[in-house]
Amino acid sequence: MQTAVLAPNNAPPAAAQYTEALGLPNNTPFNVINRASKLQPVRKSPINTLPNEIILHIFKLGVSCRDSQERIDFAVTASQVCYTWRDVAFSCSSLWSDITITTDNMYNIDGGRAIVNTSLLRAKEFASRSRVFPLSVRLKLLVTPNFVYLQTGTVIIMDWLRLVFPRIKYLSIHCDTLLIARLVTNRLQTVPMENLETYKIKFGTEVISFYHSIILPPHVRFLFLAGQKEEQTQTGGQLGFAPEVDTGFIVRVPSLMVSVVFNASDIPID
Amino acid sequence: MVHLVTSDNVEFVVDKEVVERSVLIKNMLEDVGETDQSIPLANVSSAVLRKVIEYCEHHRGEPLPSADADQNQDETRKRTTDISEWDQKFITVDQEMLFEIILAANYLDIKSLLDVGCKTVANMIKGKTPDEIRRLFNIVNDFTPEEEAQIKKENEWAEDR
Repeated sequence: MQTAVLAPNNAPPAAAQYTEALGLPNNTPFNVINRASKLQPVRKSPINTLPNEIILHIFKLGVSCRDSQERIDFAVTASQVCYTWRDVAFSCSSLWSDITITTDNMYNIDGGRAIVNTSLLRAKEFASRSRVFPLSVRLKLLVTPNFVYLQTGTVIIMDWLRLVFPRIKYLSIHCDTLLIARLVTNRLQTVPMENLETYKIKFGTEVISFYHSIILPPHVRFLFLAGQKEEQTQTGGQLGFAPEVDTGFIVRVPSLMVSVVFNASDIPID
Repeated sequence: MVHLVTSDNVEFVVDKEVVERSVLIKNMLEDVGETDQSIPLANVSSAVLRKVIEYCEHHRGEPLPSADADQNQDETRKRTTDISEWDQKFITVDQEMLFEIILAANYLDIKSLLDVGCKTVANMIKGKTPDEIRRLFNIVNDFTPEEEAQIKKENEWAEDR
């Protein structure tokens, strides 16, 4: 019987030539040799003369813009360029600390209720990649054509959010129905929010009863709260029951004092 | 005046105030004291050092970041990828020179120059697809089929925003 001397991990005999040429040890697995042989032209690229810590610095600056969607897009794109960049991007928790969840498409193709949508899948992946880094979470719980699933979708999202709530430093909630606003604030009352510093809620209906239902988490330093009466939304008129706030919308909340801004259009929700 | 010798053996005589934007050189001068001896910069070529000196000359007199200010500086730096008009013009060079300047700024420990270079690269990446970035920087796609499959899945996440 003829026996053939095989290289480790079933690499073809030619692998020995590759390992020698690439300066790798003889027992290098084939997949590593394969990647290394592809990497040779990469090293000739000027950008790959930069050490990984500088690539990481570039990534951190890339996600330093104000637009959260731009930050998310930058992190995802950078991690999809090549193995080295992906490795560098995954090594940096802060790159994945921006989470945006929507209630869009919280239903199956056949029209049934779904337990997850793509934004929630992405949120779960980002929460895992960011390890223990403080999170900035934006919820967009807006009425969609499939309104019937908005409430159940919100419950699903809030249930998952409970798991990462102790890590959330910034929370922004944008909804356009009082029902959802109440649902969210009720859920928030029973979750641990020890690291929450900034809390923004924006919605488009009656404000007073909603405002009184908020229990402020202990460490919140900034509260942005806004709402509009339905008739104001329709007519564009001023609210009769709220004090007018002329400049600024950042409301400092020292010693658990709550101030409220009633002009919803002033609140920056990104 | 300080004497610097580059990797290609070219000597530069530079004003102490200018060259002290480099934390590496500043510390060297503090350790050695006043000297006429040249400082060898084995990792920097003359073409790159010329650019670095041009940058330091332009920013002469501006306050140097102190160790205490590092954290605040980081915060400020983190907020924006904006580059001033002069810096933008200064850093409009070919890719090879851009990366050489970044490496030199890192080696010489000139934080503001390092940031200008890195912000420029970050801005070049922004708004492009992975494929466009590979073409721009001549990077080979070396993902395994398994990694490609994972990336394809990630791209489906982008549907809901």
